[in-house]
Amino acid sequence: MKNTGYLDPKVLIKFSNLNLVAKKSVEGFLAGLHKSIYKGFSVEFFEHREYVPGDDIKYIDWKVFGRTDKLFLKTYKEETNVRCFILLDTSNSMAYKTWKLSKFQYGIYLSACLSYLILNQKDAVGFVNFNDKIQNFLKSSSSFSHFHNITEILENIKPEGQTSILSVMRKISSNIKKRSIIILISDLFDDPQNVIKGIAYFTHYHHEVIVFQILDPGELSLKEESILEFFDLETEKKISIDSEFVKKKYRENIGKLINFYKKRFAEMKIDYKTGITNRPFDDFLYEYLKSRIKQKK
Amino acid sequence: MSFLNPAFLWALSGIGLPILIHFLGKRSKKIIPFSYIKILELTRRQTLKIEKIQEIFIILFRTILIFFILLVLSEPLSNSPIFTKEKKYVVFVIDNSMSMLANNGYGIEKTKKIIFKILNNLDKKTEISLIFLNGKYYNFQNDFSKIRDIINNENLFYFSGDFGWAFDKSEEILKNKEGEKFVFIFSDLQKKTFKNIDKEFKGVNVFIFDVSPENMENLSIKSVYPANKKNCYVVEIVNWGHSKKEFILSVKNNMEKIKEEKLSINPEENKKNEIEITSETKNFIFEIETDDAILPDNIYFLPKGEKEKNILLVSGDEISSKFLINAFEALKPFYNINFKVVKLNEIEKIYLPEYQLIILNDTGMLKTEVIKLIYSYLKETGNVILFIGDRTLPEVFNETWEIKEEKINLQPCKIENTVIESKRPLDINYIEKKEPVFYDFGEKIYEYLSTVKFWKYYKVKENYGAPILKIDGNFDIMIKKNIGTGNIFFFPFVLKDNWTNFQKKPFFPVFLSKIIEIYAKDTNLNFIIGNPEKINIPKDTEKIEIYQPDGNIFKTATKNEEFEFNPEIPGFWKIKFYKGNEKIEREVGVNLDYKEGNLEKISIKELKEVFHGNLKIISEEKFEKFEERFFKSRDLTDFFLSIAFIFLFFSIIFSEVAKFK
Repeated sequence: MKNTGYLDPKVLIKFSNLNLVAKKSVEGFLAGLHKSIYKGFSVEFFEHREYVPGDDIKYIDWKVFGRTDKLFLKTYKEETNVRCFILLDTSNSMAYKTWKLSKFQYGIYLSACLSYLILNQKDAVGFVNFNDKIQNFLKSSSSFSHFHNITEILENIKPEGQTSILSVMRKISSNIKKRSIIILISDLFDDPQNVIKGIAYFTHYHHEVIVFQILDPGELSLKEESILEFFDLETEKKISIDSEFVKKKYRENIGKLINFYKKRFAEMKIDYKTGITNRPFDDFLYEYLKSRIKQKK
Repeated sequence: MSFLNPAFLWALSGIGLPILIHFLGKRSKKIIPFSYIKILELTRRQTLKIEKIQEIFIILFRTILIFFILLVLSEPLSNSPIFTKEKKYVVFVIDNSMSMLANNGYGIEKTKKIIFKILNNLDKKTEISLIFLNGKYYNFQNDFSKIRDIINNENLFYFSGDFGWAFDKSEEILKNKEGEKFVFIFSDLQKKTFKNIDKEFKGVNVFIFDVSPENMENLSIKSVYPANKKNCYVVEIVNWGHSKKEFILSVKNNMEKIKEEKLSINPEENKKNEIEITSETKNFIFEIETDDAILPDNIYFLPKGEKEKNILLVSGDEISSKFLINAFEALKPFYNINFKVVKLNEIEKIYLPEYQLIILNDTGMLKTEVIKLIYSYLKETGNVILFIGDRTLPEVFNETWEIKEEKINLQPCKIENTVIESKRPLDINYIEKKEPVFYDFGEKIYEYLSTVKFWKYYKVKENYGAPILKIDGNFDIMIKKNIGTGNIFFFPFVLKDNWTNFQKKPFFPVFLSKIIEIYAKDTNLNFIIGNPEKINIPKDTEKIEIYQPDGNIFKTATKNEEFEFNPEIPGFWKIKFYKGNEKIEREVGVNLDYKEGNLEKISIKELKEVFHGNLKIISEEKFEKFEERFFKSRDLTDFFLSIAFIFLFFSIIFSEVAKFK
């Protein structure tokens, strides 16, 4: 059970100290995941060796057996200095909020938790926040003191500007030379094709990419009011819509968008998770990590 | 097409209201921030076309809806045969209670007028029935002229009752008819006519025409009947209101005012006014005039509603009268007895015809005038029981009951000068078994009377009546003499212990009760319309003639014929009894049930409860509209209302469907 003996993140977020929020949240679910989390991020396949009687048969690579009729075991090595980059979208659209937390706040807490988690297992983490430009670029480091650098940035940034994932991703990818795990936290409210193209820069350079699409419940279904005038938080463009009239079609369209990302990211072998801000962020993170461990096995 | 309320058509200029509201609604929208307008744009592009179409339809439906609502409010009518296909079945239910004659027959005249108008406008194929409260029912099919004849010529309006039967009959008539069904009720809406009625006419258009006159005062004539003086009439007036009233009581004869008296009456008072009218003809109309209204005229009511036995005891001796009083008190729980005791000197002030039985106890010598009153009473009205007193002088008794010069002879017998006293108690030894008083007892009567003893009595000589009871020695102890319609029962003893123990026996009140039951009949001076009653016919009458107030003969009957008087017209009737050359003439007042005088109207709320809300009430000022709507042309209100509902339904459906698209 997650959070055993730890504070509820809902309570934690009342504190402005991100250190505490990240620490308490991550340690909470680490207690639930035991040590297996280490395998999740930093344990890597090393080589095959021939089976010797007495070896644990769970490590037999059956695919190899299928091809060669010989028993081989998979062996792993513990990788050190895995680099992660957390890319947080801080454009104006992330400020949208119909729940207690805006997508921006949700992203902040997720970033803090992930940073803490990565540094806690001696890996290096870097942080980038962006809108249509890179706002902050913090290089990766495995020093735990680096966590304070990250939280300092997280505490001082505000949502602003428009999103332009394609151009920003291109720039970021050119700045990350070594193979890294890229964790993108964004609502992905940009041209979907551009989003895919932007992320493709990372996959092209063999980075592993994880995409957390953060959405507000109010974006999944429109409020049931009659005629409303919406203005875009980023472009300030206005549109009049009878929300009662279009609500069903809107739900369909947002569903299509999510499915599009799901399908394309799956094709690109990218982990893609949708986080809704009315769900506790630690719960969301915990579930993702758990599924990732399963995948790795 | 024409309109009853064309003023509403002006509102059609506001037909563009839904369009205006639509655009105003678009202007006053709420501005809210959103994160990803592009997806909204996409959504809008996808839905815009269908949204516009639906919007147009909704506006269209709403506009049409408003159009039809305005049409409904303007009450459209059409003469087109398309709308008048259905056959009509009409039942006129007419309240012909007496109150409809109030204010010179205002209610009834109004009813006639409306019915004739309706008849003029009805399709000739319409089947019409006419029902009256008193149970009269006519089905004319479609012969309108007969209806006019009946309403014009028949004297229909002298009855009282309620609508119960009439409504049941209406329902029965319309039960299996296919077409448009109407029940038109004409009434002054007196509460009593709707009492205990609960009628829901299903599938029938029920209309009530309020034909009551305005300015009704809380005064009414309760009854009019002949007084015991010649050419005098008692007019009983009731003020059922809560304030003192000043009024003029006037009498018209042949529509000419012949008398008027200024009177006043206290709240809830029942006042009897004796009015002397010297007139050869008696086509009287009694009217109450107040400052602002002439109240119900020509109304005659029964003096007492209940079948009460009014008994008068004229007491000349307190001790013996006490036994009579006790006896009647004992009877009160079993009989509806109104018992009044007066002294000798008060008898002249009493209006004797109000009493069914008069007991004279120890009256001694009576004035000639009193004897005349008693004679007149016996002849035309009631019965007399006469007990002799111990101070009565036989010479006086023997002289008192006969007025030779007037040929009046009430004398039941003559008595000897001395009182007979017996040393041993004397028993009753003879009972006239044919006497109706003793019928019910059969042989037991001997047993009942076996303990009755007599010690003193006046010995009867010259008996002019029939002996009923005799004591030992064959002496009469009870004599009955018939005079006119009444009888005089004479007892030649005193109700005192040293005379007899009769008054102390339990049989004594029973004996009196039987005399009341059998002989104390109604005075027959007053009748009530709708309540047939037997008339007290004087003995040996050979022929009876009854004359209506207009002087026309109503009925003749011969001797021994079972005779029941059932008058239908109020006023003074004359009944003549012929016996050889002798003729007894009796005048009677024919009244309506007093309840008619209570002009309390039923409220609209109560009326709606009676009909479970299924009725329309039409007052005088609304009649023109009603006439236009229902007869001159077909009312299209319901038709357009239905269309309006269809469009309302479509408007709702379209706006709701849009939400789920």
